[in-house]
Amino acid sequence: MIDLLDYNESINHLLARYGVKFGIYKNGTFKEQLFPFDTIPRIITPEEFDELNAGLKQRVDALNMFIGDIYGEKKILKDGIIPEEFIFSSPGYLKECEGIMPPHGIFSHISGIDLVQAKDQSWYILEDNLRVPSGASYPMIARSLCRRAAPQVFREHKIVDNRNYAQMLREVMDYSNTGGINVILTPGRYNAAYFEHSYLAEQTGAVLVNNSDLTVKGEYLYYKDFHGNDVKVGAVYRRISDDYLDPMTFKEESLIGVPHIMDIYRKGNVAIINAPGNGIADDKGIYYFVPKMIEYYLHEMPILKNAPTYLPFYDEDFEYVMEHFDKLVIKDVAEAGGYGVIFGSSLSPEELEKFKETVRKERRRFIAQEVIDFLDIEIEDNGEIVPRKADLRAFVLSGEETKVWASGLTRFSRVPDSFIVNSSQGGGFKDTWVLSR
Amino acid sequence: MGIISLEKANNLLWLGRYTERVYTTIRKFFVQFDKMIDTEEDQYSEFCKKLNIPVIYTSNEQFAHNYIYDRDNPDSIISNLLRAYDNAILLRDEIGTETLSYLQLAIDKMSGISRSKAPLLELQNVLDMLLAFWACADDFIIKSDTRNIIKTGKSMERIDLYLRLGSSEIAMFSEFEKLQSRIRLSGLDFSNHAMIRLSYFLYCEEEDHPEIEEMERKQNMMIALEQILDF
Repeated sequence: MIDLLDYNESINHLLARYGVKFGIYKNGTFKEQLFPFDTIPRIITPEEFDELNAGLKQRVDALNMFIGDIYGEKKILKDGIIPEEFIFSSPGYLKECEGIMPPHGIFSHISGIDLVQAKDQSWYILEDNLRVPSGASYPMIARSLCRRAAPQVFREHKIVDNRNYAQMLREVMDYSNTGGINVILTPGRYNAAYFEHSYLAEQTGAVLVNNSDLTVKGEYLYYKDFHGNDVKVGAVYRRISDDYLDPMTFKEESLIGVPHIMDIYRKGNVAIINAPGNGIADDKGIYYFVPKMIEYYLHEMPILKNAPTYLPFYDEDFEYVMEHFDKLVIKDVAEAGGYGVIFGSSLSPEELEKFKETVRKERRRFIAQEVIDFLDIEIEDNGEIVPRKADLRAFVLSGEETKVWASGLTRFSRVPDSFIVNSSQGGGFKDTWVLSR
Repeated sequence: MGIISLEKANNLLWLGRYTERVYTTIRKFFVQFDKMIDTEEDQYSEFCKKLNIPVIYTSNEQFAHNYIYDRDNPDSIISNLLRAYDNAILLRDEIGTETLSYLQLAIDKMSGISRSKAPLLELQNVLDMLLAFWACADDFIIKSDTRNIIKTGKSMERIDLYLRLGSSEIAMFSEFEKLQSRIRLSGLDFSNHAMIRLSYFLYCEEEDHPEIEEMERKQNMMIALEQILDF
């Protein structure tokens, strides 16, 4: 490990050379930033991974069943497990997806599940990302460079190779493919995750496309080559949000979508990865109900725990939240990327009262969670080893089988004691090693 | 034949053109700069006129600085390099991360020049990265059409620059032969008529057409060159 530390700077130089960047808009201007990499890995033991593996598969299987149920029979609502208010008022619920069953019944093909490890070593799920979760490409490329830098470290430690992500993704695309080529649909180079779109296209052999390359003709989707020939598309790994996917169905002002793609998707003539409408399952309000979904659909007890969460929507929880506001973290369900997260303890008495009033008025809009005291992990900062907060985004891929990628994106805060690890807010990343023994 | 969209074909072609533009103009700039050492001010204006770019410079020194690395000058070498990158960044899946990285390195080298005491010496590093980029493109890009569209752009740009800035006949003939072969392998639709016209003016001897002046002959070739690809 010490060997790897010696190469922190060199590996970061190589990552810059390979264009490992993310885009960010500040004051209306697009800027590309390097994503700082720390060579000290997060290490997951085989025993820990066994638990994570089983728990994540269980969770994603239940979430897939939930989405299918919501856009289908709605049994979970009829049985009163989840109140209807949480579904139909959610911005993630899309009535346009009612009745659609995607190929093989898979809605969330690529799930990014955010976890944290508490000081007692137990893992908590913080968030489910089932729309267009990003981040797998960073540890993939970093691992190759780390192996090059310090081969002896990898010889001495039995670390599961994580460079199979592209193969796993390819299998998922092929499995859902309805006949034709696989494409990765990007909104373009000014998207925050453009590096990942282009890198995954390169690694999977899928064609990187933008909307102007795709046309719906008759019942199918086609990609036009430079001779004007139409090539049928069977699977679209889209990296644009639902709202902009099809201007004929969703936002009509969308300039990055593919007109009528929803029509042929509804008929089962193309796979869209991930399926539109998944936002209903990764709504922060719905998160509260995931353990109940697992029991309801799978008749199993959840293996992994949610962070203790309160829904002000329920009177009992509302009272608790009001009483313990200064000890909780309050999250706006409509926000993402570390935005809309307020620690009660950080507010002045006036701000606290004002915010309580907002919650009182919009009880459905917020959730409250106990602050989990993350286990600090070590990073190198200007030559010193210092502790920092970090989370883990695990990737679960659903194809013929549900598989957990034996790695993940560990994001850390570079600010002491800060819980905000998002890259858009200055965080860095680490490789995640799953030991095989 | 791989599956390349029209837009990507266009990006590939311009990637070839811009990388070549940077490479050849740096080399020609070396010659121009050397002349400027021994001559009066304003020698750069002839160079600009040949390239058909505005003469916005006020001194040899300012030309040497601004023409190389002023990002606000759309005709500067760095601006052309950034345009090459703008095309390349859209093509990672076609050209590969390794090939793309040499353009990033060329930009890094170019950016470092402004801090150097001997910028012209440092420009050699940019040339090295471009040569590595082409070598990598040749070595790593598996699809023949992808590779040959870039090379078609490269040959077209080189012929254009040779016509503007001058070159030996042998160098010109050699590049034209490369263009003929590359354009066929690229799978691009091209105008055979324009190709024949370019060939005609390139190979015709002055005594064949004494009525056609050298300048006119060059213009005819440039027009034919631009008409070869019609997209």
